[in-house]
Amino acid sequence: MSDRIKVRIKFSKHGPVKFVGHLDFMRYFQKCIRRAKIDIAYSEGFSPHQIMSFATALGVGVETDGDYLDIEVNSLTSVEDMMEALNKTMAEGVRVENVIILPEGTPNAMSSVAAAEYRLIPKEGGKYPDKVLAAANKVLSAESIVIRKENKKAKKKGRAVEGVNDYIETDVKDRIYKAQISENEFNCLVDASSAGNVRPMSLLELIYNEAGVTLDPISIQIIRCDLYTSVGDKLMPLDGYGA
Amino acid sequence: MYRKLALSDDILMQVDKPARYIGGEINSIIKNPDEVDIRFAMCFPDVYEIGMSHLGMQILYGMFNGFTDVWCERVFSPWTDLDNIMRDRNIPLFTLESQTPVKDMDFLGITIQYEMCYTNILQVLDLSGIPLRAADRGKNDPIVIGGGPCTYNPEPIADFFDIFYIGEGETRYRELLDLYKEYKAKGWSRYEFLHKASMLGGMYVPMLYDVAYNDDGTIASFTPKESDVPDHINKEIVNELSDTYYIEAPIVPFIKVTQDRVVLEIQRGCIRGCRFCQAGMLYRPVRERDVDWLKQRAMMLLNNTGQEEISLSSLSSSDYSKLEELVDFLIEECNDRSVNISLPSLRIDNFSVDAMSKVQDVKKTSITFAPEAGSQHMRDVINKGITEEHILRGARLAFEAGWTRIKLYFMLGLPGENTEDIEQIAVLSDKIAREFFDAVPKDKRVNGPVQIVTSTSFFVPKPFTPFQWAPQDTKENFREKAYILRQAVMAQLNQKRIKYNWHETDVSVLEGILARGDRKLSDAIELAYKKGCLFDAWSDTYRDDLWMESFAECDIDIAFYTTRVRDIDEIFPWDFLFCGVDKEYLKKEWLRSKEAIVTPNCAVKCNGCGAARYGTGICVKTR
Ligand code: SF4
Repeated sequence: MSDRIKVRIKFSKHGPVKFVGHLDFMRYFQKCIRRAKIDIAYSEGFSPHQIMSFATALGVGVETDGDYLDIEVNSLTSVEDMMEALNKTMAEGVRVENVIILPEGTPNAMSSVAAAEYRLIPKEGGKYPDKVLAAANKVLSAESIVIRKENKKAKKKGRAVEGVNDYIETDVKDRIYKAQISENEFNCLVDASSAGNVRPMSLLELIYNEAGVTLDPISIQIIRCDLYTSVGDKLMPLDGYGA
Repeated sequence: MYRKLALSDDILMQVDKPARYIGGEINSIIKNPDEVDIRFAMCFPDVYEIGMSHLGMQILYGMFNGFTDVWCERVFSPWTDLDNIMRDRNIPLFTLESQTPVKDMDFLGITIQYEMCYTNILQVLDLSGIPLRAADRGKNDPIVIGGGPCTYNPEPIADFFDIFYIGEGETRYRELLDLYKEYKAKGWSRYEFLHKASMLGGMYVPMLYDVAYNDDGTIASFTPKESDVPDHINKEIVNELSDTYYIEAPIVPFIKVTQDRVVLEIQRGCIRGCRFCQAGMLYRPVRERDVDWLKQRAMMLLNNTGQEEISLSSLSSSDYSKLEELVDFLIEECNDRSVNISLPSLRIDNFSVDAMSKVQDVKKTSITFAPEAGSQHMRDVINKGITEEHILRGARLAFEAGWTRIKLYFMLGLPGENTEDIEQIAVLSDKIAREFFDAVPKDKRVNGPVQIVTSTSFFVPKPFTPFQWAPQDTKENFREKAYILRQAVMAQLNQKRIKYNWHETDVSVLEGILARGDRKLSDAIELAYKKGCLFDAWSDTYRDDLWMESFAECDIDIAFYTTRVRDIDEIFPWDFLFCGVDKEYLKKEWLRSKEAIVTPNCAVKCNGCGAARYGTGICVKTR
């Protein structure tokens, strides 16, 4: 077992293929690995599966410049060869951007994710209205940034009481590491850990609310720029090892 | 830049499984529209996951795109959610590859695999903006051509098609495409083109024929309108399978489809001659593919798709002469590559039980038997060619190898069936359970006790089978028979180990009407579609009430098509087609079935069915 090599693959996904959901995209990648003849390790048993795990799921409709998956291989010639072989068999809009060999003892991609950077771009050359830009500066520089979320758990159990616990309010100010807006794009770096995940669209909603403008989420293209892990008190891209 | 999709993001975000509509899958083909002469839309009129599981469509897609002057793209039925949106917003149906309106194509080819897709054919035409009736189409409409098993009685949908291609698609399409180019270049009328097409061989152009009826509704005559139009159309057939086109790189869908694996077609046709089975007659004679060719092809397909499973396809894989060699090869190669093998429709014997126990987990899978009938008398009537002894021996082998789950498939409503025949289904199920307790001693029953699932479907007589003369049971008869069987199962010693399932009766009636229908049905089909019938093959969307209303409003007598006793000399709506098997032979088989006389299969003896005129396959083999 121990002579297996852990490899991290960084990929981008744009265009029509953004409508392929996470589970299907995992199956897509498994087939790419086979077509590229990567010497991936398999589990034992009657229906062996590839040793593969994605850092995090990408929602339907979301594009990415930097998502990751880890695989284990029995052998490889070089990371460059692997990248080339994979890119020869990618579908329109998907590219492998980087392949690295993980240093011994690196935690897996899924548990490493600490933060994510996003660009939220109005589709078809649209622009953020002035009102929204003004509201954004106000919201983002305030003492606290409170996101209201429906209390789904309570609702499901029938224990939600209107005005008491039907919504949960969380101050996410210290989970927003960077946020700026221009008429073309809202850019933010936010907590993406399993405990403290901040949805960029919730932030934008907050800004629109402040501006008194209704937001049509479909009119905004979300692009994930990269995923980060924390090293000490710094953030490092998931493929930053050895760089 | 990426392909521009026909549907906006807001639509794709609200429909179920948007990846059904985006194209762009691995091995799908993109060409430059300016560099091709013919745009061909190939349609499977059901939802994407079903259509993409169909091997024939993948073969033709590859064949067409192998022609440098043709770009073949795919079209499927939009599911009801998208269907509603497209109607509301006037969005025309589009091809997946280039996302171009279907109406802008030169051809719309529709593969027709089952009767229950007829309303979906109308949906595809309607959403495309193509007139439903061939007679209403003009120069700018695509040529609508149908293929597949249902074209062996195309009459109920004849008015909706310009051409039906009768037989295997590999042989005549090139000629048709060349004729089409000539039509465009020379400025012929649409009618002129269709008229010339009708003389190519294998091409049935419904509008070129007149049908006259007797007072009782049966057919009096079926005649070409022009003297140079053939009065019979012969099925097209591939003589040497290993020389003909076969896919090298099938499309790999993004979403999970019904057949999510590489499919290897090992042979066409079937030697068996079961009297209820349409495929067994239509695809005669049996033609095998060369085993070395198959081995090489299997590896190529796995390499080019990255699929993690491969399955063999044929009507009766056990009859393939080199099966052991092929399966041994696959087990070895696939094991090395961690690829799963699925081995469907195998007869249960020493070899297959051994092979299956190597490729599947006996604890998680079941073994399937299709005795089709419970009593030996009935099995002889349908010419099934197996005995109870075969079945019990097979079951015992499976039990000894560790399997405990058995699935049994039977039909109810076979010609001449009586109560005892029905009860014998329960008795046979019970005997199999007894076999388990006998074969596996108590201390060896580590995988639990035996579980038998007995399923019945209702028999629907099909054209070009010896049972094409047989009256179909009524809905009430079907229900009663299912009830008798349920009671009989409950009376068995091991009834707790047997689970009995039966199929819906309503769809069997509709299938029966359409299967042996004639041109008089087209109005009712169109009306049913207009009333909202769609996806009739899906139990959630099937609307029996609307279908029955439509038949009533069109004065269609259902019994005429289903339960009526047909005269042995009646002219059937499909008699102008020739599938290779002579009507005289079918007649002989029908009469033999009434006396329960078994006819040996083609491997044992040639019975002179007529298919030998193709001069290929089993007919020219020395026995
Ligand atoms: S001609 Fe004879 S061998 Fe050929 S398919 Fe018919 S019965 Fe079988």
